[in-house]
Amino acid sequence: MRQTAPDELELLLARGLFEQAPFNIAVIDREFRVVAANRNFREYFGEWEGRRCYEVYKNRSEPCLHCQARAAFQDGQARVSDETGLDRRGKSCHYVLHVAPLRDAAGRIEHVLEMTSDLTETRRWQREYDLLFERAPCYITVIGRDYRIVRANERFRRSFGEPGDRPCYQVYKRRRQPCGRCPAALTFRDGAEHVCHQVGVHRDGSPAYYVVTTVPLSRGEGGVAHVIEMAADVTPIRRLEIELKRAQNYYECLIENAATAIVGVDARGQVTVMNPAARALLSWKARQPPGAERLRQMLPAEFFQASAGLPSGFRELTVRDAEGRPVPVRFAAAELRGRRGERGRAAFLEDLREVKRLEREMLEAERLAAVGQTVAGLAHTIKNLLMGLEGGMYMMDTGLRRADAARISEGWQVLQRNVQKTTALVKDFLSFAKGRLPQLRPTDPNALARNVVELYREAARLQGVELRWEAGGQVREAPLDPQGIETCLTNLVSNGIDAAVLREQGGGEVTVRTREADGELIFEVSDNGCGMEQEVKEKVFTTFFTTKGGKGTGLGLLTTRKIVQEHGGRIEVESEPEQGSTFRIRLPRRRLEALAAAEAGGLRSEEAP
Amino acid sequence: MSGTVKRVLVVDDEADVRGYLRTALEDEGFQVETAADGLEALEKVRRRPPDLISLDLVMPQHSGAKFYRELRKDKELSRIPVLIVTGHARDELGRADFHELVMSGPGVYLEKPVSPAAYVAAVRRLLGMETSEEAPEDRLRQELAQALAQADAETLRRALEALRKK
Repeated sequence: MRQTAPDELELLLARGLFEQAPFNIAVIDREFRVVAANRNFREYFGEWEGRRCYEVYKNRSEPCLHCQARAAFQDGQARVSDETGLDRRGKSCHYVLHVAPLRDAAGRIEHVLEMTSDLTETRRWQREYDLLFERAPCYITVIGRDYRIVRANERFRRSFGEPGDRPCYQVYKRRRQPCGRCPAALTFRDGAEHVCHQVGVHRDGSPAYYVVTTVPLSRGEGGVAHVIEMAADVTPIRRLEIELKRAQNYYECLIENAATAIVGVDARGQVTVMNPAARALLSWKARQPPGAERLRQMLPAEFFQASAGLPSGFRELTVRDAEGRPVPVRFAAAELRGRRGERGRAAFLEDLREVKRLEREMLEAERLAAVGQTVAGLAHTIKNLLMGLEGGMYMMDTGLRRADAARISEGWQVLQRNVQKTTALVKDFLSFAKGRLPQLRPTDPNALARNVVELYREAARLQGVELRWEAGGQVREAPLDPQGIETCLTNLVSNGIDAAVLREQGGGEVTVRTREADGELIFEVSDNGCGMEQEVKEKVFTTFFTTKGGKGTGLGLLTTRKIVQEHGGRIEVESEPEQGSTFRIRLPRRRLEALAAAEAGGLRSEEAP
Repeated sequence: MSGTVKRVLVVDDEADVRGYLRTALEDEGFQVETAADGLEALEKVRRRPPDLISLDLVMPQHSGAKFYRELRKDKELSRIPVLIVTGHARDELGRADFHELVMSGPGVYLEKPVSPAAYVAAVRRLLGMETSEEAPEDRLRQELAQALAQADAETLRRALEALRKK
């Protein structure tokens, strides 16, 4: 290991030092031969015996250009340099080289001591640190005790601009004074880590939301000298939050102000939404929405059947309010599906109480209008009768004065006739006026119509008229007053026969039909008789109108219309002179159901005579 | 004018009313024809125009209103005065017709029931005839008769006394 040794003791000392030193040591002579080296050196650079330093360090075949050892030999000065070479595996390595001249006893420099320590790892750490610092997806700044930004990473500079010599609060927030709640100040004080939310201003003026963490970086005499601030920008998240809040407010506002009652439940049937309209409709006074069980008592059962699909569209049904009172509603339900597949349901209810009330009032108004028209018609008939009586009296009076027997007799007949007419009218009218309120019960419309046809068929045939019957296939049972509707059909059929008899060419026919259309039950009676002119058609239901001379009192159609109106329906007529007439009774099923329900519920009691 | 006999056409669908009005007019020296509906009336008017038409408004078949509109189309016939005698002056059924005819037309109507005196007086007025001397007396008599018919025993006694004093 030794070729030339300046001093035994020194050598020993050196050897001890050699092996213990935590770096590589080699001794080089003036020929650049490696004359001694420690274990660290061998482990780092490999075998060195008999080799020149430039061969060992750098695998060169000749001395290096700026050889530090040669300079040391020349001027006797120690020096330090940064070198790159090849390690024992031939891998590039980076190291610091200290060169110190070694003087022998005579003071000549025959050797230099070369101490090298590896920088490869350190450099890599340095690079990695720099990369991390610059490119980390957050803002990183190093702050001094005076809050000036010592260093800032690329991301920070991009978002907040070059910090220059400015303090952090100015760059982050455009403030002139330090912030009130400063995490850096806390870290400077206690040396611990601090985290908080901050709002700053980006260089483009937009708000910057970030979460900042401060950690102590270096310590000096007065405690923490530098603090590193790492801030994660949460502005996009914050913006989303704001947007979300806004959207939520928007929909909440829509739901809260909707006129439709809305109740939302989650998969377990717990109420998640109950808007004011729903509270009003269900008379729910408590601040807390009803529990799952309570809600079941109010909404229809189908709403809670988890397996069954919900029917689409609005349907009319009855729910119960908090007090258990029935509330008629238009009801619809919808499945609510969250992104994670969780299920809920929403019920939409429209209060029909007001509508039902108006419907009842309208029926009542129609009924009163019918009464008014009846009274007007009655007054006219009475006026005509009075006119007849007046005439009879006049003839009696003048006949008596002139002792004109023929005139007396004529006057007497006029009086008798008109008194008879008055009696008939009063009788008819009483039965019309007394007419009971319809007593609705489930009735087969076809059976009803067929009965009337069978009853009149023979009588019609005797007058040369054929009475026919066409059953409607789709006609369903309906709540009707069978006696009342039978009276209507009887009146229409008998009118039809009278008209068909008048047909000049013969072959009179009357046809009775039943059918369903647009939610209405329809009875139709058509004849191919004489038909009516517009003038007659217009007045046919509105007066004690008769085209049958003394045969009728004109109450038939009036009675028919009254019964139809009391069923919530209407009667219409199509007619052309010489073509025949069709009378059509239209009974809306909804109204029939409503009347039947009202009757059952005793709601019509106020209408009783 | 007073020398000639006036002809009146009475149009009404009620036979008893026709008979009554005819008699009342004939008793006052009018010549009377009748028609049961608008069509018949139109026919008769065209065949021989009367001096006056007494018309009911609401009739089946050809109504009074329709008849009246037809009449207006003929310049000559439209000059014939029309006296409307109706029970429908003020109800839903006759109001529209009534307005058209009375307001834009003849402007004279009587509401049923009508007394013979009032009826004849209206006819006379429309024809511009002097009301006869006896007429007011007749009317008074009639009014009195009506009052007496409704009076109780005490009123009758006092009325009799009053008449006797005269």
